[in-house]
Amino acid sequence: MITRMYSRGFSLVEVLVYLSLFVILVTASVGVVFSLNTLVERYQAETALYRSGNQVLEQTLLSIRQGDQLNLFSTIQASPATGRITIANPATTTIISRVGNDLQLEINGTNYGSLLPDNVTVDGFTVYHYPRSEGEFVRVIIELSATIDGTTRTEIFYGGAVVRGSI
Amino acid sequence: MNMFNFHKKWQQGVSLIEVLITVAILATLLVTVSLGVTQMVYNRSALLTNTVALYLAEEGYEMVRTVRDDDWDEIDTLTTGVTYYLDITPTDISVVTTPVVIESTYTRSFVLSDVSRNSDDDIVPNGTTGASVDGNAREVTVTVTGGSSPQVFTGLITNIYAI
Repeated sequence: MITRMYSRGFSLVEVLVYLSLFVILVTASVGVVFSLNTLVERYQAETALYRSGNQVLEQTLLSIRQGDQLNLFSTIQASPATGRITIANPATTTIISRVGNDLQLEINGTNYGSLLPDNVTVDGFTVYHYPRSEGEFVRVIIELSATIDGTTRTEIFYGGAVVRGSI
Repeated sequence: MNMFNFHKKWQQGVSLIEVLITVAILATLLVTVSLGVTQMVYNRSALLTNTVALYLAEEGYEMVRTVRDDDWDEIDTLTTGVTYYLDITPTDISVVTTPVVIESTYTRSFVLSDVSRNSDDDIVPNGTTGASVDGNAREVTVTVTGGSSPQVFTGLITNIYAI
């Protein structure tokens, strides 16, 4: 009995079925792994964008809201061409400026370095200000790109705040 | 006996049904992991677009405030319950009635509501008995659509220059 089964071996049909399943499984596995890798890179890039956009906007809007309305026109300079905003009140002078593809933060003359992680670059940092009969509105548009290996994602963040300062 | 059974099974090899079951299990695993990762990425994309939309909504509220700063009459002449939009140029912000689409994706609108106060000047729901509408205050509801889900920001504006 044992000898008979051993000597029977696989039939041609069985071998073909096994081979087919093997090829299908390997092909599907390789495809799924490559696909998942791209998806995970996209996930990581969008996570970096989400965090960086939040960080830059919150820092910028906080600084704008702390601007001194009494010296508004001399303390807030919006320069879309250079991508730089200077916000001052009697206690604090904050400068957020685009340096190459990076955003740098400076408070009271001390450089706190980059606001962005290494894998995120700034493609645009534009500041507009709208003087009104009372107060002023400042608008910031930030375009960020995040690159994880071969995957790049881009997002534009908009934020704005009324300068409250000390009235 | 055990040695004999083991030897026998080894000699029998793997049956077709066993291979099919194994392939089915592996395929199910692959599909499950793929769906999980796809859902994770979808959720992260939704979070990103909703965050952008929420900042736009907050900015919209601040813009209505700055319109108020220019002149309360610009707010006072708007009709409550009507949907308005903000038209923005590099030098001006104005209120319009036609939709403005941002980056071909997001649409930001706002609606003003009356604010009612009771005899103690506390804000109460509109229609409350004994309450009267405060002509120097409005509730602003900014809605931004275009993200994964509509983002809403609600705040109060008052005619602070009338005090």
